[in-house]
Amino acid sequence: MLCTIQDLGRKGYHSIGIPNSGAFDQISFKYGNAILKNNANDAGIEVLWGGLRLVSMEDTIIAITGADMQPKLDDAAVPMWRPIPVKKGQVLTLKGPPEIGVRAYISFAGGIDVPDFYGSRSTYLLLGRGGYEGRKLEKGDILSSFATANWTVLENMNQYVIPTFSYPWRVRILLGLQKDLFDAQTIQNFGDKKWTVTDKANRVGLRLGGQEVKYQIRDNLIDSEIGGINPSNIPTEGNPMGAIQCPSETELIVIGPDGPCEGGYAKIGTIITADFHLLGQVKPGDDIFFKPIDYSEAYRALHDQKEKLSYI
Amino acid sequence: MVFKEPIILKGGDSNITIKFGDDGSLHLNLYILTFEKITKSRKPEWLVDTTALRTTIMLTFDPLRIQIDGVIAAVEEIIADGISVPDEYPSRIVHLPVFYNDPLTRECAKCFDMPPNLEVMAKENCTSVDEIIRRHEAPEYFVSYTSFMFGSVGAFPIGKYKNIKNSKYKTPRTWTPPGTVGIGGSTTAIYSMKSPGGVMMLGNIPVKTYDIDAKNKHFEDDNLLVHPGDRIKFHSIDGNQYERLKSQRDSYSYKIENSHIEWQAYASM
Repeated sequence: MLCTIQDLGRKGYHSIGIPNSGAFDQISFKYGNAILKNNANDAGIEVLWGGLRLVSMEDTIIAITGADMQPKLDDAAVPMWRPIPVKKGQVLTLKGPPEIGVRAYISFAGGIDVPDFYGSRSTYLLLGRGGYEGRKLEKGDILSSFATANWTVLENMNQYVIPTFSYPWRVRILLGLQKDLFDAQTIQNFGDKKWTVTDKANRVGLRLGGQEVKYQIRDNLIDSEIGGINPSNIPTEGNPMGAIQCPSETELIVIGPDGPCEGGYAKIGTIITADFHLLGQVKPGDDIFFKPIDYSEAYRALHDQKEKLSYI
Repeated sequence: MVFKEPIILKGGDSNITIKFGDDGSLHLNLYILTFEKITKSRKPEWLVDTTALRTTIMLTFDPLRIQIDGVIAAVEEIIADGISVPDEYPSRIVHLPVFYNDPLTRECAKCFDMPPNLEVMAKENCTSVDEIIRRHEAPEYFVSYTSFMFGSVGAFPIGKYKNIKNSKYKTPRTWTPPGTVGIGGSTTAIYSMKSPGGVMMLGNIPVKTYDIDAKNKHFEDDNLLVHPGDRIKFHSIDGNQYERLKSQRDSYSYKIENSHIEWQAYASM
C-alpha cells in the first residue's frame, strides 16, 4: 500500500527539475471532484493497491473512484463513483487489491487541506515535498479538509459516462520524437507487440519488457559526441510525461508523473494525453498494447473525454 | 553553430522539441536560453512550460487550448523576429569540491552489475582512470540546464580542454547516490538526490546543490546553488576532506565569483 495526497499537479517548473506530479490516473481523480462538486484541483488521496482504513472524525461526504478496492463503510459495501455521506466515527475500508487497475482515489467535500508547494498540494516523494509533510500517509496521520458550504453533490449521475477499465491495456500513442533512430520494421510493428510491465513500476516511471526494438545504424556522429555512443543515446532533451524511452533493445521506460524532466535516451513515441491516465492503473505483470494514431485523432479523443466529464 | 532552419520534432499532443543545432557549443546554448527568455516574455496563453537543454528546447502546451500546428506557427514567428545572443552574459563561477573515484559511486555501480564506471570511461576514451580525472578537473564547465531533478546540474566544459566522452548505462540505474558527478556523452551531470540515472559516475560532491529549508544560510534567498548560465569549477578532494565537508555541509561557505561570459571568446576554440 502507498497512499499520497494528490491534486492535478504543478506546472511550469521543469527548468528547475520539478515534474508535474499529481494524480497518476487524472480521469478517475477528476470524476471524484466532479461528483462532489469540488473544484477540479481539490486534493484527495491516491491509494495504491488497497489495505487502507480511515476513521472519520467529522461528518463529511466523500467519493471513491478509480480501481475497485471493494470499499466498505463500517460493514456495509458502498458504491464507487457515487457521493457517500459519512458520519463521525464511521470507518471506511479499502481492502483491495483490485482485479483490474491499481489506484483508487478518495475525494472529500472541500478537498484536503495541506500546504501548497510550487502551486500544488501533490506529494512529490523523491524530493520529500508537497502533500502531507512530503511523504506517504502513515498510520495515525490526521487529515483535515477545507470547510465547505457546498454540500450539494451530484445525485442523479449519468452512469453511462463513468470510465471503465478493460484489460489487456490498449493505449494510444503518437510516434516520435526519435522514431527515425529505430529501424523501419520496429516502427511498423510497434502497434502489434504486447509489452509486459516489470516489477519496476512506480510514479517515476514504468519499465516494460518482453519484446525487442531495433535501432538504425547511426550516421549522426555529432549527436553521439554530445549524447553518448550507444544507439539509444541522444543529447539530453525534455521528457514529456508519457514519453516512451528506449534505453536498450529490450526495455521501454514510460515517464510517469514524478519522472525526470529530461533524459538522454531515444524516445519512440509519447502516450496521448487522453490515455495517459491508464498508465496509472497498470501493475507489474500486466500486458500493454501501444496503438500509434495520428494527431487529429489524439485531439479528438481529448476533447471527447472533456465533454464526457461535463455530462456527468 | 545554430542551424539555419531549426528542426521541430513533434513530441506528442502537448509538446514540441525544437532542435536549434547539434554542436553543443556555448553560443548554441546561449541562443537557446535567449529563445526561452523571449518566448516566455511574450506570455502565450497556451504555454505551460519550457525545458531548455544543450541543443534543444521543449515547449509544453495546453492541448485543449491549441493544437500542435498552431504552436509550430507561433514558434516560427518568434524565430523570424530574430534571436540575438547578447555579447556579454551574466555568469557566476561556482567552485565545488569533488571526491573522484569515491567508494559511494563504486559501490552503487556494483549494485547494478557494472564495473567501476571510471574504468569504463577510461576504456572508451583509450586512456587511464587517472587521466580521466585530470581531464575532468581541468576546465571550467558551463551550466546548461538544471531540469533533471531539483538541484541537479547538466554542464559542459568550455575553453581549452581534453575531451571526455562516453556511453550511458544500457539499463539505467533505479537509484544514484546524492551528490554523484557523472558524464553521459560529453555532458557532466550532478545528481542532487537519490534518483534514477543513466550516466557513468566518476565522483561525489559532499556539499549541497539545493536546500529548501535553508539550513545552510547560503540558500536563504535562493534554494538552488546554480542556474543555467553559471559556470562550475571542480576541485579534487580526498576521502578525509570529503567526510569533513560532508559533516559540515550546513555551515559550508561556498566560493562564488560574480562574473560574465563572452561567447565570442570561446567561438574559435
